[in-house]
Amino acid sequence: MILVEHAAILLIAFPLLGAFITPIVGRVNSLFRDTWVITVLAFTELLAVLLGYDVLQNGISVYTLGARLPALTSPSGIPVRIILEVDAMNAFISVIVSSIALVVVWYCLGFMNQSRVLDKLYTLILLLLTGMLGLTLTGDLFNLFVFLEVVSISSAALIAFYVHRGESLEAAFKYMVLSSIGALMVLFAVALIYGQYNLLSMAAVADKIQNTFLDEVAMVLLISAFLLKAGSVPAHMWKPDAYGEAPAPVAVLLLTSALVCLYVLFRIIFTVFNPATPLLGWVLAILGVSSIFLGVSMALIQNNLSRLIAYSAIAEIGFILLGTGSGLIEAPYLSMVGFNAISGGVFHILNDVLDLGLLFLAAGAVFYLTGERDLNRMGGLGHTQPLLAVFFLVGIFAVSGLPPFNGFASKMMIYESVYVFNPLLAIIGILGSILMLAVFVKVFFSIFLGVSPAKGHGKLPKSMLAGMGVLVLLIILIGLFPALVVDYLISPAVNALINSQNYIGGVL
Amino acid sequence: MLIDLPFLAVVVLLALGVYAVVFRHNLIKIVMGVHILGSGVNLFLISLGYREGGVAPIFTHAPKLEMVLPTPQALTLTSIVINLAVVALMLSLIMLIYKRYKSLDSRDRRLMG
Amino acid sequence: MNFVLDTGVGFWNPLVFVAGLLLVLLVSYLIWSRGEKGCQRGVQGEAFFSGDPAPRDGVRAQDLYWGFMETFKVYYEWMVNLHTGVINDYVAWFIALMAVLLILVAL
Repeated sequence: MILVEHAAILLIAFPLLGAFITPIVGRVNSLFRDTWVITVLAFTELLAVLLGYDVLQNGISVYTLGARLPALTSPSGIPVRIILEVDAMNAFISVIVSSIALVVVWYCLGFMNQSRVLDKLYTLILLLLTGMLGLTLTGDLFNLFVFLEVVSISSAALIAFYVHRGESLEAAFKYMVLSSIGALMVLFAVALIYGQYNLLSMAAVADKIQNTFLDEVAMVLLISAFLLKAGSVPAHMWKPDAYGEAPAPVAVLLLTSALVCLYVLFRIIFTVFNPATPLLGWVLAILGVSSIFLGVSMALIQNNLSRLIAYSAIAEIGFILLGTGSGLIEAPYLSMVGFNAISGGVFHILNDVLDLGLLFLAAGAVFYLTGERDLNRMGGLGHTQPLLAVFFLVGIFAVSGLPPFNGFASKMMIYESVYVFNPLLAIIGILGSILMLAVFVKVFFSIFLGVSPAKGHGKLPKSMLAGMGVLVLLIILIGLFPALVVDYLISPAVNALINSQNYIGGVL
Repeated sequence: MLIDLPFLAVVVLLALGVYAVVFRHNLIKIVMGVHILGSGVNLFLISLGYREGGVAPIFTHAPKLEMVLPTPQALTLTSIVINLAVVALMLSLIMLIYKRYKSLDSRDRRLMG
Repeated sequence: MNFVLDTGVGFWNPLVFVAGLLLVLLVSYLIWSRGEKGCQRGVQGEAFFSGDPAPRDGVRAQDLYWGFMETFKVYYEWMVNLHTGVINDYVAWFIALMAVLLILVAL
């Protein structure tokens, strides 16, 4: 089918085209514009699912830009063209990204109904989606830099969405400075690699890599830049600012982009540089543990709701780093325990975006009802909004890893495998998880319990409830059937991630 | 010796950029630092592709076949454009911040802790 | 169809857990339903607040976990001082991360 054959490039091209048509469509009327944006997103989602199904059935799918046939990757033995390479891992991430974008925009229909600049908001969201999908699908190092900058620019503009608030501008400026420096480091690393091998294709570089000193410098630059974008300790400080000041739906998209950067980090470590050193695993695991500890302990003293959730997002990133890092410590990482640690990390990417996404959307709903960000001035919302309270409770249970929700399954995989490598790391992780529950008990108490509030008697729009409801449903389903998800999605993805020969073989 | 000169310039530019971003507290100077950093990386890219005695990589009517590499030039062009967009966005954010707070000092901040 | 998640060391079956949870809920409902019928709402009296008059607007979010924060006061002061919010410091931390990784991995 021709749609599947070109799905990889259409996934990037279609939201990009949709983004720039949105302002034109918006001049007609708002209903038409909303329909258009939802159609674009639904079509993108459809393409991602089709592509993912195709990859799971037929193996790696390669798309060469500008060639006579999409499969002509290296006409004279050298891959000179830009290549999009999709294996089970990319396909998994691209399905997550496009689904979250659809849910978020559906939520925005109700959340932003007072705003008069929705054309621009939707344009930027579609651009951000383009950047994230490009970052996911590309097999070219320089395109990595380009899409990283697309993500940075559109997210900075989205963070400054409430442009009348000085804090939003400040957060956007900080984000922009940090992410442009990170992206320049990526470009520098790409130049170092290109200078040695005259290659930009990730698969070809992975084939030729010698692990010289310059390669290691390039690897460190790439790793630290993507750790910065993912928001690991000690480069996490932009995260509370940006997530706390952005509108709630945008915060969910920022979270998704952080997870995409984490995926790119794994792709670089596992595929491009194909590490032989367990040292890198230790570095990632220790960064992960310190992210967990610092994120949770700082979340405990926050009084701004979105800022608090942002600190717990840092802790969740730490869980993913901990799982994957301890999988790397055993250098062959082919033992069952190492495989399970990496699967736990990858599974947690999915669970993290669902749980924290739900919490951010619920925080947005609280803001919509009360117009309040400060936890000290809230209370008693459970009397008037019982459904929202239930949604929030599901999010809390899932994010702090209580059974039978989805967070428990992946955290258990991480703990049990990490415990085999190093019990201390696992114990700190479990303590972090318990503290996380304590943090969210405080949040639930101060928002939903207590004296009935003066405000908050309004009604939530249907689209917001629907957006949160979809996430709740997914959380419960994944929580009840984690084994199916692991068997059909996570294991193929992890296999694709750790077998770099398959990725190289797709191009050369 | 002359070949190494651009790389020395790259080091100087990167150091200047990092110095400006880390130690200067004026927002505009921070943006200047980011841009200098970008120029350093661009110079690095372009000097990687230089071959001594090479001509511009255009095959039509080329006097000889010794050419500089075309790919880094394409990469540099792209990265210059991206840098322009980044700097423009940052400067517009600074403009709005100044309108709001009448201050350009990065230590004069509201989000912390 | 495989419903048991095998984690390499242990296993996890959510369906059994949910069944157990429902059983526990049922038992606790049975116990609750045998309770005193005559108990009325609103007879609990005022909240006891260390003998002082209770604050009018209840316990606020920042009052929760007061003991925890007081115990780890040194840690929290240190942490809050590190999170200065100045962009220069953010970049410095990033450069420091890069430098440490360079020393650890590349050298």
